[in-house]
Amino acid sequence: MPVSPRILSLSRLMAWLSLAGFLLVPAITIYVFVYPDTSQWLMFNIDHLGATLNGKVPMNFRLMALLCEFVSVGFTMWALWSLRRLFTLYSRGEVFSAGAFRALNNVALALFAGVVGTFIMQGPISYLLSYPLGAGHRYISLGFGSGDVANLFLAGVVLVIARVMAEARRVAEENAGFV
Amino acid sequence: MAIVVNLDVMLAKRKMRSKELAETIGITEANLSLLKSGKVKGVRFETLDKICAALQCQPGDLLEHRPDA
Repeated sequence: MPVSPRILSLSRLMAWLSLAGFLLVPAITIYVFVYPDTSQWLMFNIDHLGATLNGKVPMNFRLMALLCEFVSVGFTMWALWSLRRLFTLYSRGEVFSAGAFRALNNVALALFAGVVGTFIMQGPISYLLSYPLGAGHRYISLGFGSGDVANLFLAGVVLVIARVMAEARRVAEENAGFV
Repeated sequence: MAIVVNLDVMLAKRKMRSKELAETIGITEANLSLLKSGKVKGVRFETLDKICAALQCQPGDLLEHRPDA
């Protein structure tokens, strides 16, 4: 059954937005770490750092923290790239293809991994950013907030939808064999 | 498969072309061709009803069970 033109055009738009996100997220993250004092206008909130990110932190510590931050950014990029792939397939009318199921599954896995990666890297990032404060002021911060719970819930939802889509694909394949 | 589709025979008896039948019952020629060659998993009652109406026959005229086929 052909997919409606509205879904095709919406999917094309979402694929472009996902690609934009894929390119913007790492770029903005780098900008925020390199120019922390002049990046407030972006309102790009990195609330899981566990330490204050400002220009007083030496650049080499900020760059090391940025490297750690890229663990979670990497998973976000993976999720956005998988979303781009998913919507590209939808825009071609491949709603029930194996590729679409794989892409949706990858989005869920990337979201899960992102939450875990963010939690793990929070310790090193907070230590690196607080290191220049000197002995007695350095700390390792670990936290699991409502944002992480929301992300985990979202990942779970996407994972369940991916499983349902796999079942829908099986039914669609079966239907395709009927005349 | 043990189910044999005799649609070809009925089309010949009624002197009707596949294209004409496909247009009458509203399915593609490709799907009708698959049905004729028995390369489908199943036939919907709706399709069977339309074919029977178009060819003025019974489902038994179109489908045959041959255990050794």
